[in-house]
Amino acid sequence: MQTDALVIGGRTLTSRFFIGTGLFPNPYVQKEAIKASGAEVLTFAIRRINLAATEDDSILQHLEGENYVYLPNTSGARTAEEAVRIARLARASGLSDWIKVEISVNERTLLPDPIETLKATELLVKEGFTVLPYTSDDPVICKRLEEAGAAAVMPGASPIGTGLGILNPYNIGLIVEEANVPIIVDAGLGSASDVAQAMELGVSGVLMNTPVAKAKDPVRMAKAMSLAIEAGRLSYLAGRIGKKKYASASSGLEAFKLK
Amino acid sequence: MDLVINGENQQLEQVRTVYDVIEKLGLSGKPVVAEADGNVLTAEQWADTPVYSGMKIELVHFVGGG
Repeated sequence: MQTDALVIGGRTLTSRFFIGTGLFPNPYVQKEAIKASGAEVLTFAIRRINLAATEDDSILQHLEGENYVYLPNTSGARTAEEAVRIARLARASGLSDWIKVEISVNERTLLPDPIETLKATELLVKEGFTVLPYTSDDPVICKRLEEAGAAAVMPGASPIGTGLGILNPYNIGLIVEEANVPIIVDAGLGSASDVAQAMELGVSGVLMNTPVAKAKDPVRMAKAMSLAIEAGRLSYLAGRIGKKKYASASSGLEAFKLK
Repeated sequence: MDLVINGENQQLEQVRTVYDVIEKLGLSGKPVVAEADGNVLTAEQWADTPVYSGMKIELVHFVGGG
């Protein structure tokens, strides 16, 4: 089999699983789930430090010593300007110049604002960031983000944390067909079957947090998702059969049937 | 000195630079990022950034997120 590498921002990734670090029941389960996922790219958020309780654990201290790619997000931003500010703060940490642009205004849907997302992507690309915008599953906006210099484009399957799976597989398929950068399905996936479907549509990877962290057994689910990514990817590369309306027998010729 | 840190008024004694503020708050050695009057600072810039009364400082860190 030929090699099937995923390269983003000049970095060759060993895994097509991008995993979020929120909502895990505790740091131990989180660490074990990340290990089971095989993920190399980890997402984070940026928040104010609670000065009343500075002994609060920073997420990073539990993950030291591993060779992860840090993908901080701009969650909480409602405008391009706010996203740029958060991105600069994230980069000043010295840990990463990758940034997931995430800009939402509507608290009920958390759907991304594609116009602000495009603006932020343009600005951050100019500042030298490796920009991975989270956006809606619209083929036109995904193309515009690619043209703006996004290193990968990350359309949502359905709203964040819903587990509704891929609401518009036709669009995700079109986005992949049109793209010249990796497409990562980000948000809304619920289980291994959703993940396999995404990969079979040809996306380069998936980003998940809630369906792993909030599963009854996050470590086992992380492993299930990683296997689904592998299965879906292989299935995509292998090329599935076409769908037909009527049966076609698996074993041979009419003439040799027992009568 | 009166400072506005993460949106709240804080009174800290004997602080001259952002570095001093971070030390005073018990945050040195932790993965903290600072912004002073809207300018994002790298850790190397903390000791060279003087603070003054009424200065707005934001101190942030990475938390779990997707």
